[in-house]
Amino acid sequence: MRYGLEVPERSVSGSIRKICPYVVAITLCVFLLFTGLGVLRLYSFRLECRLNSVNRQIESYNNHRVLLKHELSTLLSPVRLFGFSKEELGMTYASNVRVLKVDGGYFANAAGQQEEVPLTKTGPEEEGWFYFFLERAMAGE
Amino acid sequence: MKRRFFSPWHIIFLFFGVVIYRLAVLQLFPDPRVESQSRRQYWSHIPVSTNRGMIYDRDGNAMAVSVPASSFFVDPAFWDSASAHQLKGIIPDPLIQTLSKPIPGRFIWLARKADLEVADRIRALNIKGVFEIEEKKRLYPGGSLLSHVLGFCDIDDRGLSGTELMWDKELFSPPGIRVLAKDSSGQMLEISRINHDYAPSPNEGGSVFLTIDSRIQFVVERRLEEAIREHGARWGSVVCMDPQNGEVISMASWPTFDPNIREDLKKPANILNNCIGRTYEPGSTFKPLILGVGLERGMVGPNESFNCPYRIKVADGHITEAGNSGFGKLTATEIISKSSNTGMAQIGIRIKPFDMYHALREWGFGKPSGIELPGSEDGLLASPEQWRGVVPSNIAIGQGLAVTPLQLTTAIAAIANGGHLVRPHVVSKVMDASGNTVYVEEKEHLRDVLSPQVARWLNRAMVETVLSGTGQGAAVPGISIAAKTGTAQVAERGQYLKGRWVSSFAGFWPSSNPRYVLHVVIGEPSKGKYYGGDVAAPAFRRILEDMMQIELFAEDQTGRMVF
Repeated sequence: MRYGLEVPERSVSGSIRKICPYVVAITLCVFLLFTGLGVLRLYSFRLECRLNSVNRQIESYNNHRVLLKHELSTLLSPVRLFGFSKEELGMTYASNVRVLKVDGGYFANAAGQQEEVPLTKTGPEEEGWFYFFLERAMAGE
Repeated sequence: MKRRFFSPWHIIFLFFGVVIYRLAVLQLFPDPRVESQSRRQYWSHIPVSTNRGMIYDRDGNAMAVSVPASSFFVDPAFWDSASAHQLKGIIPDPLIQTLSKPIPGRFIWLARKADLEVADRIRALNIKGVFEIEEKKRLYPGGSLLSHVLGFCDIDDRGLSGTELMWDKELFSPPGIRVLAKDSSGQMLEISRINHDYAPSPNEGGSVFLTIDSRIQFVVERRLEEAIREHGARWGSVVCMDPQNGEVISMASWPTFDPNIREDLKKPANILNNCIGRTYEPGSTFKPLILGVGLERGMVGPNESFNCPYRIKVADGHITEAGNSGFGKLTATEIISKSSNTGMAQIGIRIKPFDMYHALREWGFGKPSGIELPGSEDGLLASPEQWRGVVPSNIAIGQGLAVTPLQLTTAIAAIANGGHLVRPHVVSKVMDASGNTVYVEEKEHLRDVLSPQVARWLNRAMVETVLSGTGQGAAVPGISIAAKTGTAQVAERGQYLKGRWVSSFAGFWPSSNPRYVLHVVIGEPSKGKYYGGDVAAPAFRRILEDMMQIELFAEDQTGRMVF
């Protein structure tokens, strides 16, 4: 037995046992929190990459759409159509057109009633004249 | 018995506690200075263009689009000056010289919105320090078609002229921010990061829909250029309008330019829209308007006759006929159809200057036309106090004042539609980036300038011009055309220049229910002919015939044949 240096073992181990579980638990919790934070950060990176990928896809489709619109406009351009029809197809202006003046509108509808045909898009017919081109002339006879 | 409170473990736990606390603070609440420094070091924010809004014609064909294009830049931090020689022949020499020396900063453009061929060549070189980003480039699929109405943009997609400028607020899409991160080897990683410092921009700008028919525009431009070359003219313009609602169906100006070719934009004469930006003395095309003013005010009777000698003295000057002899006795209708200057001068004298001035102002002369295009001139109309001597007679024959082709077209449209002056417009609808309609065309009836009876009388007189008068060069079998020729001298520094003329022809058809007003102006023909009936009238006829062919074989949007 040593005088003055004797430490009651029971009380030390008891107090350590009382403190350590709490400390371990808190440490564990903190560790888990930080781990969770790290996992969340990594997950957010993954989502960001996916978002970027989707955005790139959207942008790519938008660009493709614009390019198609441009191509369509170029194809429909009167300059191109005229040049192609004249040079490649050898088309010329229709010269065998005949003009027939008919008084009033004589288009009949399905019920056989006379239908008033508007002459122009912009105003009502005033004098009853309109022009139409003979089908035979258009067919090239 | 003494309890031992203090343990070495406490120190260890305290140490770790402090470390964890600092770790948490650094991670969750970083110092703003550290944060901004890391941003500067690892992230570059590059402004890049987004899709500018499109411009469409009346049938929905895209006339101006923004397409993806590659731009290249150099980061001096990774650039080796010795690599500059590899770019010879691809980029301009001055830029190569700049790149051959040490460059300050972190960013210098190498090629902005490069053509596909140039982009492929730069990409193939794979030079360290050269980086590529995607931008948008403005393209006009029709080339020079409708160039003056469409206008053009600068390298940053801001409108500089025409519709691009007028509706820039709706068409422009603010540049997006592209975030580029660099790894340790300097490789760029393109990451679109939503950053709270920058507001997200929409993918596209708005859209503008024009009233222009690109098919008719094509034939008009083609025939205008043909006439210009045939007669060796310096400039020309053609305006085609719907007289019932003021819609401009076609507007062509020569010389022209291709907005896809930047070099074309360096010549001011090319980019001037002669239809709205050039003023000229209208000549005899003005006579129906003056006669209309006289008829409205009762100064002239519709069946009145006038003695039209070759030359008459008016105040301090003389008015002479364009030809070599006088016409003798002419009715008011014949004054128009034969285009008699002396007859018209006598009518002009009868109208008080004050009345004529205000009537012409009501017709829209000397004031803005109201069209939605920048660069529109008002024309020149002197105040009546300055109308002394021979001036009223000169104005009656269309000289001594200056108008734009569009102003005269609008005035002729008033004759065509029964006396209603309508506002010319070239835009039918505008939508913003969100798809909301911010502007819709409205037929704007400005005022009545003629009574229906006087308008019908003038209509018949102009029909006679084509049937038996000076406008026979524009006659087309089967179509009743009402028109007037014009031949005016060119004035410079207060004097009329010898041998320089402006030939014009303005008319509408069919005369019974006009659908189109067409005004052709050929400026300063130099190959002998200069009369409106010889120079402008044939061009008018060819355009009319082409338009008939389009209508003959075209379908409207519902699939019906349009007759």
